[in-house]
Amino acid sequence: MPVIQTRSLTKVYRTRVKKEGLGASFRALFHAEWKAIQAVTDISLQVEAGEIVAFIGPNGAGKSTFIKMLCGILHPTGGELSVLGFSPVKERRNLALRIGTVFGQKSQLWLHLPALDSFTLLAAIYEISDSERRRRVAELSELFELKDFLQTPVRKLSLGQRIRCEVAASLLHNPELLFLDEPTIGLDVVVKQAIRELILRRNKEWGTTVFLTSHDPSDIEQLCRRAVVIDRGVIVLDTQVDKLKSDYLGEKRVEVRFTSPQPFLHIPGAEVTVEGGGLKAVLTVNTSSCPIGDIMGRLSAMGNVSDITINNPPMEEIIAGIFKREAAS
Amino acid sequence: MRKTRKYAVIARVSFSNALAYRVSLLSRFCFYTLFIMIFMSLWRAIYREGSVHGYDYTQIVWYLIMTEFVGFACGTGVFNNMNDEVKSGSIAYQLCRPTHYVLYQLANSAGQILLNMMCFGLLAAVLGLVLVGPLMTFTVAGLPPLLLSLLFSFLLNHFFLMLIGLSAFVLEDNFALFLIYQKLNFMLGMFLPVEFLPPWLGQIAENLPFSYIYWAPAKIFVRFSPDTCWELITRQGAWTMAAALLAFLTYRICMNRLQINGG
Repeated sequence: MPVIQTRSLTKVYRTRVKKEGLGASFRALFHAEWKAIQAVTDISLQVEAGEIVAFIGPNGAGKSTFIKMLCGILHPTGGELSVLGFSPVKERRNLALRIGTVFGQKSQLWLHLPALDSFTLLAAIYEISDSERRRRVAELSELFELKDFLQTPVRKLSLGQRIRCEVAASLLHNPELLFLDEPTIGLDVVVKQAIRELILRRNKEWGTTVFLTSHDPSDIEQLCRRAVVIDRGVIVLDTQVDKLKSDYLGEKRVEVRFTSPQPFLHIPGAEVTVEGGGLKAVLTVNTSSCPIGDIMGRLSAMGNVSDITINNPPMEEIIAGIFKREAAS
Repeated sequence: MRKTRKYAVIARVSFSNALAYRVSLLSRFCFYTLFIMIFMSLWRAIYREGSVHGYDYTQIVWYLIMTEFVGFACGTGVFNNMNDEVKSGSIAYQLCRPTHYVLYQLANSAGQILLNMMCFGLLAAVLGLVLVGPLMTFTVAGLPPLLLSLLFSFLLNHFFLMLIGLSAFVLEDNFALFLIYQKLNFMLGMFLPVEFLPPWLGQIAENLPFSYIYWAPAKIFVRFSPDTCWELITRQGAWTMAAALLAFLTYRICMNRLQINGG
């Protein structure tokens, strides 16, 4: 049985609109105007146990609304949905015992208390016995390396430490399904990598199904096997990440700084833009046709390179590329 | 068992959390004392002529100490918490948990109030004894009904604040409702005993729930009589039940209309 199954899921919001100006503000006092916003339209999706699915799209695409419907927080306007065999609307509290959530921009920990106290509270909420709680906290503390700051008030933790505690807190009750809504937002590269490794380990060792939204292409490349792209509430692409990588994520941006001006630069396999009077160049490389190692080799052979940075293109550009290609096909 | 234990743990953690706000507690101690001193001076001027509506000076000062105690001790952040949670969207976390949101908020408030009651109870007793001496009309036999009345005060106030907080699900700004509620409480029992109001207004006040938050426990305390005490407690209990039912019902309706800000 699929872990998540939705059929023609739809969510329409009603929001108040007000025209510009003081007069319109007064008129709105007596005659409010409302506008219907189609946040999610006719989404049919199936996720199997043990999958790690990336649910990606630009801001306002309907990702969070969709996740909140799956958790039972928001009630759909139309369609059917089933999560772990439960109807989230009717059985929200039973479902909550078996799912975990991390909303990257919000905290589930008590700011003025040590994370350990929040774990105790969450263990009680998820009906875990004291002995079992102690065992699981010790296990997660080791896995997430929380030991050094488990007794520090959460408000005094760094963002990376807090997010590690947030993810650990969401796993305390051993959920079968984990919803991660931008879990790596605002984190530095090292912490992002650590969080990704922990999620992967959990998926491999426990078979936890992960449903992830992120604006970071690296999250998708390194974590997910399947990617679902959504825009304006509609699924525009549902594909394997390998395919997404070769088609859309394979492009890298290499920023190079030189010690002496390099007005003309030609690197086979790369699209080159020279900036700053030849002291900087941006190379756009498709790694599926030209491995990044080759480019590095050529650059270092030049002898005047002072710095190299490799970046993924922003998620918005990747999605724009997907739309272009999907529209053309 | 585990289903009910979770709410006890929420109250316990909330109690620990409230302990972290030591400076806030101390500043509220100062504010409480200042408030009592100012209104005591006002009552002293009024009471030059003798007793008013059956309350002598000592009783009215203890009445003031008790109503302010209820105000400071039972005043939880439930309205602000709920408002912030709905507006910031962090309510999503609360709703993703296997708890009932209304009961979660109740347990959360209970933890804070327990600490407030202990701290302000001590301060109120010391202030009263130092400023006007012991209250001769109150006996130990009045303590159990007084505690029961205080429990109903807390619950009634909590469910009202929760109802105003729940209005954030549908209203863009519900602060006006909160202000109206505060002023009603102030006029109908917190500042003055209901007996001091004009008869027509006193009649209305006795039939509204707001007086039963401040006036009922303060009257039980300063003018204890077994008959009136149980009548007041019964009315408090009935209003509390009504407010709780309304809060659960409103929550159910609001859940269907919930829109989480920020997606």
